[in-house]
Order: sequence, then C-alpha cells, then structure tokens
Amino acid sequence: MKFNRILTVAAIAVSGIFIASCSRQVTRVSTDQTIDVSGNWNNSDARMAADELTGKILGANWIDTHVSEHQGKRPVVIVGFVQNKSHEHIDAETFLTDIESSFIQSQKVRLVQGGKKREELRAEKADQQTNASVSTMKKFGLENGADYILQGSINSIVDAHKRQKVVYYQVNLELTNIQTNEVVWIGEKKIAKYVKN
Amino acid sequence: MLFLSACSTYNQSVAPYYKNVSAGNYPQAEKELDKNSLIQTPRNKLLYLMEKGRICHLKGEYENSNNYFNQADQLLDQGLTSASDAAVGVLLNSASQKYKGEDFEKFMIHYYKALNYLYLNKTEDAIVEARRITLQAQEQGDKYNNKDSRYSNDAFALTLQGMLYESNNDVNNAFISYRNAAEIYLKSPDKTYYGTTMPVELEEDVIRTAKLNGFTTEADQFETTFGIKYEPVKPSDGGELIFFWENGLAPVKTQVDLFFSLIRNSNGDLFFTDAAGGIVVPFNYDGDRNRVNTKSVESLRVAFPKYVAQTPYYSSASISVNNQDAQLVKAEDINELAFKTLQQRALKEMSGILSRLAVKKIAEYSLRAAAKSDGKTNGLLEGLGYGIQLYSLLSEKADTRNWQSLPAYISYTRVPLQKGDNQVRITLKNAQGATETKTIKVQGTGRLQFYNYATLR
Repeated sequence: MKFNRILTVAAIAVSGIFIASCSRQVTRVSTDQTIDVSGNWNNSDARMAADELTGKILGANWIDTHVSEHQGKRPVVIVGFVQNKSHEHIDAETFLTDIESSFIQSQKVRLVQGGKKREELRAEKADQQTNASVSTMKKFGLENGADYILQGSINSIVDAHKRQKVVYYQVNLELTNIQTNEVVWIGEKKIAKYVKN
Repeated sequence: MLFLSACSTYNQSVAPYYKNVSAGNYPQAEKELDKNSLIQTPRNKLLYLMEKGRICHLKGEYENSNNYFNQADQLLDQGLTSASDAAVGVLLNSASQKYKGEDFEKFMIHYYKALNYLYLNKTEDAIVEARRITLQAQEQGDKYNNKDSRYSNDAFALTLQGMLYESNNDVNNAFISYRNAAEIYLKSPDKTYYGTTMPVELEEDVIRTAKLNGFTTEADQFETTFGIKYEPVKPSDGGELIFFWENGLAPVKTQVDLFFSLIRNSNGDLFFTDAAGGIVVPFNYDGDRNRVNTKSVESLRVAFPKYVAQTPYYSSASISVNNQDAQLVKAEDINELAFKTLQQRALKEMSGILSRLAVKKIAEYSLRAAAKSDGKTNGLLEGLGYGIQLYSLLSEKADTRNWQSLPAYISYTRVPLQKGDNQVRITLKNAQGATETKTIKVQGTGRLQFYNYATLR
C-alpha cells in the first residue's frame, strides 16, 4: 500500500518533466520583415543584397555611357556565375532573379538567357529542326549576343569564441564588357551579424 | 513506460536498425529507424538526423542525406544547451537530456556532407564543407583552449579539407590544410594521433602541394622532417582517385554501475571513493560541508557510460586499380577517439553525477532522520524519504547514446586513373584469412575523384 503511494509520488515527480507543450504555431509574416532565427544567411540577407545591388546597378552611369556610344541601343546583359566563397551553402539565385527582374521592369537593360536555361533553349531549337513545321521553326545562329556579363562572389568571415559569433558577409558583383574585358561597374553589399548563444 | 525502458541501453533499444545496417540491408534499416520511437523523441533529434543522413548516404541518396546532415549541422550551430535541459540532467539523468553529439561525430558530419556534394557534382558546396571544417576545428580548439592533451582538432578532417581544396584546384589552401594536419601528427607523442600514425599519403601531399605552390623551402624542410625524398610524378590522364575504406562499426556505449562512498579527509574536505578505492572524486557541494553526515552517502550506485568496441568482420583490405596495387592506410580511428575522449572527460562527468546523487541522498537521509526524530515515526516524512530513494534508484541511468552507424576505422589511398574505364578491385580479408573480392568501375575524367566503400560488418 505504502509502496504504491511512493510509486505515485515518484511517477508524478518524473512525469512533470515529460509533459512539454509542443503545439506548432504558424504565423504569416511580411516578406520585408527581418526575422533572424539562427544567425545564418537568410531571406532578409538575400532581399537586402538584391535591393542594394539593384539600386546601384540601375543607378550607375554605365547604362547612359553605353546608350550614347551605341546610337541609343540599350545594353544587353547576361547573368553569369556568382561564386560562393562563404562558409554556408548559399543559393545566389534568390537575389540574382530579383536583379534580373529589375532589368526587365526598368526597361533600361535587355537580358539574355544563360546557363542551364540556355542549354534547354538550344535543345528545344534543335528539336524544332526535325519536329516543327518549316514556317514556325526557329533558326540557329540568331541569338542576341550579350554586351556585358554580370559575375560575382559571396565571401564571409566568421569570428567565433565560445558562445559568441560575428559573421560578416560581402556580396560582390561585377559587370564586364565582353568585347573589351573592361569592368564597367562594381557593386557590393556588406552584412554583419552578431550572434550570441 | 519510463520504468520499463530504464534498464536497456540505447543500442539495445535501436538494435533492429543497427543489425540491418551491419548486415547491409539498408532499405530495411531505414524502415526500422523510422519505426523506432526512442530515436524520434525530441531529445534525440540530433542523433536521428545523423542516422538518417548516414542511412540515406549508404543507400546512395546523396541529396536526401545532405538534407538531414544539414539539419543536424544547423542544430549543432544553434547550440543544444539550455537551462531547462540542464535541469533535466540534475533532476533525472543525462540520458534524458538532449543528445549533443560527440566531438568527433561533428567532424564526421562534414566528411559525409562533403562526399555527398562531390557525388552530386557540386564542387562549390563541397568546398563550403571544407570551410566548415575550419570553423569546427576552431570551435574545438576553443573548447579545450588548444591543449595538446585534449582532442582540440581532428587530423583526418584537415586532411580531407586539403583533398577537397585540391579537387577544386586550389593548391594554396590545400597545402595549408595538409600542413596543419601534418603538424598535428608531428607534435603528438610518437607522432600518433588518437590511434593513427601519419599516413605516408599525407607526407607526400604536403610536399607535392608545397612544390605546386613554388614553396621550395617548405618542401625541402618537410622532406627533411619526414625523412623522405619525394618527386611528384606527372599527373595521369584520367586524374586520380581517393579511395576511402570505412570498416566496422563504431563502438557502442553500455552502462557500468560503480558504488561510491563519501569520506571526509583531515581538512574536512569531502571526497567520493569507489568500492575498489581506485577512483577519488571531489564533492562539489554548495551547502554547509560540516553538516554533511558522510553516513548518509554509503554505497551510492552510480551508472556510467562505457564504450565497448565492436570487432569488425574484416581485418584488412587492399585495392588494385588496373592491376596496380595500392596500400590502404588508416587515417581515422573512431574506436580510439571514442574511448580516449570519454576517458578525458570521465572525471569531470563523474564529479557532476556524484554530486547530484549525493544531494539527493543527503535529502533522503535528512528526511528519514527527521521522520524518526521524536521517538515516533512520521509516516509521511518517511514515505517521502523512501520516495526520493526510489526515484533516485529508478532515474539513475547512464547516457548510452552515440552515433553508432559510423565506421570504426577509415583508411584511404590515392591512385592514378587512366582515361575512360578503370577497374578498381577491392580484396577484403577476415580474421581467419578468407578473402573476398569486389570490383567497381570508375570513369577517369582527368579530375580528382572520391569513392567511399563501407563494410560495416
């Protein structure tokens, strides 16, 4: 009898630890809101990089220089690789797409497809040579050649000790004239975070 | 539920999974893992993610595998310690705390992540892992203030880092990694770091990359240090293959029970000694030391984790590529690492566990003494005293968790490939001398390639 009571006491004492509330909550937030959860590269960083770099690249005078040198023709840009030299697996596509769409929306810069999408386009063109009717078939060799290529890198420096960490990111983008190899624009976005566990 | 599982170790509870891993039935193993309720508890999340990553890697699902490993990596990044978790440790036992991972396991996460990325042809991401190894090594050095007597770095992880940089033609960083790895061996007693001696491969790597960078002074210095003359051969057309052999399974933890008593020396300091008298642990007590009745802590049962090695079925292996033999050299001895690192922290952990138990014991003793104080027995107080005793008895359990699907040993070699098809023949020998042969095909592409072959029996 007494033993039973003891068991109950012990069981209650132990069970208190195991009852943990874990109901999941999901809250919709604005995509412009900065929420830092882990201290890693996140959507806010990508957005800030995109905002900053878009503003810089469209506001720079390489566009006007190009237009005046080429009888009013808008520059054609291809987006190349952004090298990840950081300590995290960062997908540069998130902010590169933002920059690309700003080119299209601003109507100041023309964009041509590169990378994997270009390969798919060419494959489709090749397919059309045999499967499409002659009147609708798209020809090879009529692609719009780019004047400039946009390339870049993401670098990071981590300084950590015990439970403190300072992470610094630098996103660099460069625009190079494909014909002359001349760099016509450089822009960077720097982000620093202090994380304490 | 808690009372029933109190006497089986982690390995026994997850046995169906580990048995299938060992037998090479990976799909079945994954099913068993997903069925297991113990490993899916929130406190075992890290362990679950590591095992998931490992089993997906073994099944060849590299994308999936990294999904889990990246989650594990993030979990470690954010830290798993909290006040509530510490309280659980004090009130209950360390087995009920969140699993925080062994130090060498953290390095192994990067090894598998890097291989996964390489197999997915994501060289850039594999290099990110190389950088993460640096961060891990810094954290490790931080933890033990870069003491040579502690596991403050991992030579194999640094060697791997060098290989990763080299696969990306970054010979400058590759040299730095190889050199750092070599220096760990050089400053270790007998040039042996946790059961592995410096691989000849690494000596050559250091000198080769030094020469590629034009660091002739360093190259000469290392030739003298290692006592070898090394002339790099012309790279072969098909590139090279780094072949890892992962043999056996990591050691498992069991529970050992030790019995301690509290003694007071002439200065009034309190110590615990075990029944055999071989272990003396100071008692960290915040209360009034003079009022502690040493009689209250006699024959205190304490459960400690202890590693038990699992003897691998295969004792040696050799490989030949296009009928050219190559020697596999041990580069990471997880057995040794596990035993040594546990030993290094045993005293500190013992002291914590003992102090915690003694506090419980003293409380129980005072309650029982109070119950008998005025000649009559106070049933409730006595009951409470027994309650604490019973509770301590039932809740005393060692933490027997570790990542047990890791290999016991990793050996490697570096071999030249020819352009196109290459036959890699692996000859495995067991303790009785019986041999088995496996053949794999590797396409020579002109680049540095990686292959890890696991025999987890």
